This record gives sequence, structure tokens and C-alpha cells, in this order.
Amino acid sequence: MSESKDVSREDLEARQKLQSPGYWAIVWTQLKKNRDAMVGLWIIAAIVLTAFLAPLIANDAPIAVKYKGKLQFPAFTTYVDIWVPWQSMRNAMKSWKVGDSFPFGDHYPDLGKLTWKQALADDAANVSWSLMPPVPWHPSRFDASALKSHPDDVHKLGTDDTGRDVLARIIHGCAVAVLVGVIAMGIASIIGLTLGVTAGYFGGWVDLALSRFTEIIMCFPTFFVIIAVISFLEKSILNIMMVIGLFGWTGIYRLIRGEVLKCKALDYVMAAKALGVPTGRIMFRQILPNAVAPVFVSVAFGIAGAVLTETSLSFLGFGDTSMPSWGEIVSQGRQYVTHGLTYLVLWPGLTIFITLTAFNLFGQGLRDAMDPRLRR
Amino acid sequence: MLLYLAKRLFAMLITLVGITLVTFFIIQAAPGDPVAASMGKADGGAEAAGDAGARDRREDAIKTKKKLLGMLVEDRSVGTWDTASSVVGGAPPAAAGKQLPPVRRAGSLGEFAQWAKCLAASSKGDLVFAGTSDKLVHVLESVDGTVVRSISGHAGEVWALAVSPDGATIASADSEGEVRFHAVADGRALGASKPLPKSVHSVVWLADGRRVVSACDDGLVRVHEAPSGEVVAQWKDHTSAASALAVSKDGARVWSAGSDRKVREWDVVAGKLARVTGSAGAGVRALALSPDGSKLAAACDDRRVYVFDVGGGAAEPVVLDGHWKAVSTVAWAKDGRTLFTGSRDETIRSWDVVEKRGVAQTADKTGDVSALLVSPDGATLWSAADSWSKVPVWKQYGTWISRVARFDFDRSFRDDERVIDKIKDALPVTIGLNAIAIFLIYCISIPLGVKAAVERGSFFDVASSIVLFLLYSLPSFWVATLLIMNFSSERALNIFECVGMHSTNSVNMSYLDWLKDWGLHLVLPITVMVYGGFSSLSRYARTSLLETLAQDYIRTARAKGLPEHVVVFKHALRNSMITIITLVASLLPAMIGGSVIVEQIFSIQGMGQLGFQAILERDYPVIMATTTFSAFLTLLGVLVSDILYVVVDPRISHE
Repeated sequence: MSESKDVSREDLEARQKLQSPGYWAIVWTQLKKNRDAMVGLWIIAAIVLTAFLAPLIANDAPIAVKYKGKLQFPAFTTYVDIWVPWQSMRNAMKSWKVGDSFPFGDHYPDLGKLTWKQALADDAANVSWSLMPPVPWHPSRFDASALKSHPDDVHKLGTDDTGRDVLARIIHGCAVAVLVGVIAMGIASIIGLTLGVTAGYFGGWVDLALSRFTEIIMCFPTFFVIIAVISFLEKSILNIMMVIGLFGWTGIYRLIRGEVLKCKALDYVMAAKALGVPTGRIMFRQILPNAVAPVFVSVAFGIAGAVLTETSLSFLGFGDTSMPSWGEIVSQGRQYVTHGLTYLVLWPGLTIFITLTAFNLFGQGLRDAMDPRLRR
Repeated sequence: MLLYLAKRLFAMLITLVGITLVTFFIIQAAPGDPVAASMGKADGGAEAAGDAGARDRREDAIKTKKKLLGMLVEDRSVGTWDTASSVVGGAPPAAAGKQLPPVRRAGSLGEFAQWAKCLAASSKGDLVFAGTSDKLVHVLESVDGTVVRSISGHAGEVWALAVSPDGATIASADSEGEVRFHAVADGRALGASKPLPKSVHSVVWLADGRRVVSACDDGLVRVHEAPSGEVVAQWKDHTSAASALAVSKDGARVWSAGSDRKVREWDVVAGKLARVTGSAGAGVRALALSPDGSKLAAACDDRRVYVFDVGGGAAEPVVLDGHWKAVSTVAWAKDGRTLFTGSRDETIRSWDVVEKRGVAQTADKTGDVSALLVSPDGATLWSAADSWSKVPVWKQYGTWISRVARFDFDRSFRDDERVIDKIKDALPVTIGLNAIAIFLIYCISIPLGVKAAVERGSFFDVASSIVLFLLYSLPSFWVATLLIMNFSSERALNIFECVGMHSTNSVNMSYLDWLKDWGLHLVLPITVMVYGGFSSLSRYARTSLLETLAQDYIRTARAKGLPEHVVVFKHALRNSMITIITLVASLLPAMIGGSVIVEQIFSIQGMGQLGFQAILERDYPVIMATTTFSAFLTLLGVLVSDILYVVVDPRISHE
């Protein structure tokens, strides 16, 4: 008896699932039909992948090498340089030891005074085998023999004024762009969502005060204030991300506040209240998931905006000089405009353009996919 | 309508105040001293040679400028400090080489027109006397700092004060060499000496309450009859100015010191030099006898404090070293072991005389300390100093905003030019550029949107939307750089100009040439400002027109046989343009923000460039003014578009 009841319930659930796919499933189906959005999504995936694999794609040390009978993975050290924002933590990770090798360090006693490249070229007898990255240049180490060299076989996209390989810098710039986009918009989302839900849910003077405050931030000459704050602070990538996030949440706030105002009046909220669910839980567990959808569109556009802001800052000389940024390369091209170093401007600019386009395409596609009027 | 407008203007004002407030706090919270930085180094040579005078003058200049800017005010009150945390045993001993524990000011007494130079207190400690450089002696309640009365009569700055043992008379001496006597009770003048040849730096009462000793710059120590001021004895041994005095409790011995370094002990009864107590390293500014009468502390110009044993102990003085400028005053705590010293290095320190080490130090700069006094109960230390106090940021903001209300944006840190003049030069440039750009955006994108809507789904519709979308994603600094490289470079086409708005010789041009020159300069920046705006605007124009074309009255118009162009341009277009007009507002903030980049790349002297330079140079008044004007323009744009909304569409009402 009970068995048959269970089966029938499962059957019922399966049938229900068949009949009405969830909200996100609909959005995904709609998105898949939008060719532009999918192109955007693929480009974004490629950029993110490049960002994560950058140290293995462009580096002056081998990914894996058997040198003097020892297996080493020197390229992975660069991960620490790019992805660990704090100097002290970087040092700690670099001195971390497993057996007699440093997996994230740059101590290779066997190497002596040679660099890995020299070792591979001059000391080939000791190298059993090696796997070099496809772009054999480090983004921030200098090739003193090639300053401002035009693209050739050695440097595929040329070098900048201190002899750093432009292609390597563009590839590693992906990591900076992804970091800035995601963290800045993460900060913006947290602020926007928290304030928006609070204002929408409580209404009254809380809403009034928060909305006034938002209006103030919205009317700020934002870019100007960001420059001001960055120039007063230490020019680190963390500060840049934080400031962009701190001034970028107003759009999210307005969206989420409107949605919460709508959701607040619905029956399930009243039911939750009647059941005695705590206010915080109602706000963030009951209402927020139902109101959050339009925010994703805003975040997609926001990431494009954050990347544009960061590259513009770097272009104006307010970037983190220890990080390879696309804007910084363009600014060098601008600086040496009379030398006609077009490649310094063209390629990084093109990368920025493609990135922005991808995020804007995806954002637009997502917006269309979420709009029930445009359903195909 | 009028009420609505008033409400909107009020809201706008509030927002503007909010924006400036946030900006003000951001730039005030920034580390470093922008005023000092903007004034540069004093002069490199003097600084390197350790010329203390040049450094002092520079510091004074910075203070004066900060005072003008409303960041500092002269603090002309008597400072009060709790002695509990700074006496020996009151603070944990500091490790060698470490900072002494900081002491904070407890409060202040009174407020004078000039800085106080000397202090004295009644024996009960209920009254404090302060002599100031505006020739007055002030009497204050020590409890709440009320100024009971200000006694006038001196012809010079009051440099020394002493209260008679019975507490009824106050003796004061001034820079003109006059010693005066006043009644404490009512401030009436009791008598005055004939002016001495030079300034008097110190006066003390003898125990009998009928005689006063004075130390004069002419090197003589004189005994005056009180209250007539008549000189009854002159003690001569100092080889140059005498400036400090101390007297034993029984009044039998007086110590004097001055710029000849030696501390001398005088026998009052015999009226002659008893002995030379000892010698300091440089001129002595002040003397103080410990409460038990066994130690004599001397504040010395060589940055040290010498403590002589006058009770017949060790011959060598205890030397306390730690101040980095001349020590100007000393005072003993009641325990007879702690010594307070005030110095020209703008700190007050306390010392353990027995262990010869520092105990505590003031946390903030006090200003040049000129006098210290311990209250008779020993709980409080009073200080007189040429001190400055920081104006709280909210007060500074109040001053700033009240000036702005009168359109006074202060002067630039950098070149002392009026900020409003700079704005007057820069604002028209930016507004002009933006006006041209917005006009062009409308002129180009609306026809594009209309054509796309009319030919919905055609090749033109699809192609234009893709192209405009791609244009929207082009970073402006990249496009600007590429344009300069390709159209304004000797290596490529050199058609347009890329620096500023006019050539250097434009003043000599004929009007036509001038116009042509201006145009050539405009093309590139305007292109950069314009292309990004097409996308959203033409998209809006397209959607809006499509919506209007779906209306019933359009169907009616078509049904009655009107030609299509009449339907579109006469019936649909007008109505669909309503939303487009309001978009001016949304374009404005982005354009004003973007002008920083465009003006920077093309070296145009507009608001963006002005603000950018100001940020680099940390020129606060200019930063504040540019932010205010940008925010104001943005808000004005929003307001104007809202009003336009009502004007073009009578159905909409804001009542």
C-alpha cells in the first residue's frame, strides 16, 4: 500500500517537472537560442580560462622540467605572484617547502645563477626533458636586448619600453581584468543587495534615507572621485577593486529595492511572517532569492564597466604597476606616440574591446532571456 | 507646478550638500599634509645645512596658510593637564628607545585675544593668573576657566607674574621693564616701578611679602619695595641678561640665571652673592626650586634640563636630555621627584629626576611652550603655549559650505589664484564640448533609430544595431589614442590637431582661419565623445517609435489613407520623442566623468583636466569646486529633463 503511494508521488513529481521547468531552466533555454549571447558567453569562458592558465601559457620558466634528475614545476610560482594579493602571504607561500623543493618558490639551488631559459639553452646536457609554455616570456621580467621592439618571431606582439613581452602581458592581463570585474562587482553586489533589501523591506524612513544616500552616490562624478581616492591611497589592485565596488552599487540597489517592494506584498511573505520566521531570514532567504534575478543582468554590464574603469585608470597612470594591465600598455603607446608603436595600442585595446563586447553581449542576451515578452 | 519645482530644488540642494560632504570627508581622510607639500621644501640648502631658523620660518608659514584656509585656529587658552598619568609611578616606564607614554590634554581655561606668556596661581589654587602679549593680566577661576577680570596698565607684553604670599597682591613685569602691583580682589593698581632700562623676564616675592625680586635683561637683579616698586637693592654679577629667578621657601636665598649660563645664589639678608651654584650648557630660560627646597631645575637653551643639588649634595648637576629644541620652562610636581618641562619643540615632558629618565610626553603638538605651572594641590598642570588647534572636519565643512553659498570657492593651494576664476575659464570649455557632442549624438542617432524602426527587421536595422553596439563597447581612451596615431601624427595622416582647442598663434588669425583652426582641433575630441552615445539613444528611439506605431491612432491615420511618411513623421515621431528628450539627463553624468579622459588625452583645459591636475597636486579647494560643479551640472540636467518631460507631454503632471 505504502509502496504504491510512494511510486505514484514520484511519478507525479516527475510529471510536474516535465510540465513546468524552473525559472533558470527557462532563462537558460532562452539564452541558448540567442546566438549573440552565446558568443559572448564563449568569449567570457575563454577569457576566464586564459586568466586561470596564464602562468602556464606565458612564462619564462618551464611548466615541467627534469633537470639534473629532479622533476620541477617552476611556472607555478607565477600563480602566487598574480593571485595572492598580499606581499606577506606571497612570501610565506614561496618559502613553503615540500621535501627538498619549493613548489611555489623560486629557489632552485641546482640552477645556480642561471635562469631557466639559460639552463635549457646552455646546459641542455642536464635537461632530460622540458615543457615550455607556448609564449616563453614572463609578463613583468625584462628582455634587455629588445626594448620597444616591433612584433617579430621572438616577441610575437613586440615589447614595451622596458622590454617586457606585450603578448605575455596581455595574457596575464586577463587575470587582472577577471579579478577586478568579479571582486569589484562582488563588493558592489553585496552593498547593493543588502541596502536594497533593507530599504525595500522596511520602507518608511529607512527607505527614504537609503534612497537619498543612493541618489547622492549616483550623482557623484564617479570616475573623478575614484581617481581622487586611488591617488590618495596606495595604488594597489585591491584598493582599485574596492573603490570601483564602493561606487558601483547604485544600479543594483535600485533594481533590488523595486523587486523587494513587489515581493513584499506576496502571500508567501505573509505566510512566513505568520509562521514567525525571523525578519532577517525572511529578507535574505525568502524574498532575496525571488528578487535577485534582474541583478545578474546588472552585474554582467557592471563587470564590463569595472574592467573599463580599471583599464582607464591604468591608462591615466593610476593603476597597480606591479600587475600587468591592458590599459597600462595602451598608455605606453600613447606616451611614445611619435615613435609610431601602433602594436602597443592596437592589441591590448582590441583585447579590452573584445572583453567589453563579450560581457555586454552576454548581459543583453540575459536581459532578453529574462524578459517574458521576448520569449521565443 | 511651482510647488513641485520648489520641492525638486530643495531635494537637489540636499543632494548637493551630501555629495560635497562625502567628498570633503574623503579628501580630509587622505593621509599626508597637502598644504606642506604644496609649499614645497623651504629652500634645499638651508634644510640640508640644518638651519633651524629656516625650518621654523617654514613651519610658521605653513601654519599661517592653514589658518587662512580654516584648517587651524590659534588656541589662546591656558591648557590643563592631569598630572596623575604623567608623574613618576603614574605611567608604566617606557622601554629604552621607545616612545614615552602619550598624555592628552584634559581641557583648557579661558580664551584670550593673544597667547599667554606667563602663569601664576593663588596659594589656594582657586585663581589662575595669565599674562598675555596684548599687555593684559587675566584673572581666571581655576574651576571653570571664567575670566574674572583682565587688568590693564602695562605698556609692554607681560612676561612675568608672581602672587604675594598673602595672596592679595599680584606683581607683574613686562617687556618695557616695568614692574607693577595690582590688588587681586578688584584689579586696582597699587603701584609701579620706574621703567627699568631693559625688559624684565622674571619676578618673585620674598617670604615677607613686602619685597619683590626682578631679573632684568641688563644683567641686574633688583629688589623692589612692594607695592611702591621702588628699587631698594641692586645685585650685580651677571655678565649678560638675567632671565630666571627662584626663591627659597624662607626667602633667605634667591637663585638667578640668564644667558651667561651660570646659576648664582644670592644671600638676601646680606644682599650679596653667596656662591655660584653651577653652570649650564647654554643660556638659562627658567629656574624652579623643588618643593623640599633641595633641588633647583634650570631650563636651558641647549635642549637640556639641568637639576642642581642645592641642599649640599652632589656638585655635578643631573642632566635630562630628550627635548629637541630649547627648553623654555620647568615646574616641579608635588612629589618633588617628577619634573615637568616645556620646550620650543612643542611638547611638554615629565621626568623622573632620581632615575634621570623621561616619564611621559604630550601626545599632540602643544605649540611653543612659554610657561608651566603646577596647581597648589598638585593634581593639575597648567600650560601657556603659542598653540594651534586643528579645526574639526565638520567645522571646516561648515566654513566651506557657507563660503560656497556666497560663491567663494577659496583660493588654490598651488598658485593662490581664486578657484572661481579657474572654474570660469574651464567650465565653458567643457560645457561647450558636451553641448556640441550631445547635439551631434541626437542629430545622428535619432534618424538612425527612426530608419531602423520603419524598416524593422531589414538589413539596415540589423547592421546598424550591431555596429552601434560594437561602438558602445569601444574604450574611449583606446579610440582617442588610435585617432591621434592615425589622423594627427607625422607618421600617418596629419589632418587634425590633437593638442588643446586652438593653435598657439590663433590670436593673430583672421576670423575664418580661426574658425577653421578651431574646427580642426574639435574633430578628434568630439568624435571620441560622441560615438559611445549613439547606441543607447538610437535603440531607445527605435523602441519608442515602434511602440508608438503600434498605437490605435496610427492605425486610424493609416486607415484614413494618409501617406506613410506623414503617418511616421507627423503622427508617430512627435509622440515617440518624449522619452528621448529625457535621456539628456542620463547622458550628462557619463559625459562629464568621461571628459576627464578626453580632456587629458587632448590636453584641453576644461573641468576634467582642472580636476585631474588638482587631484595630482592635492589642491583641495579646486578638487572640492570641480566636484561641486560637476555634481551641480548633473543634477541640473536631471531637473531640466524632468521639466521638459512635463512641457512636451501635457498628460504628465507632477502635482
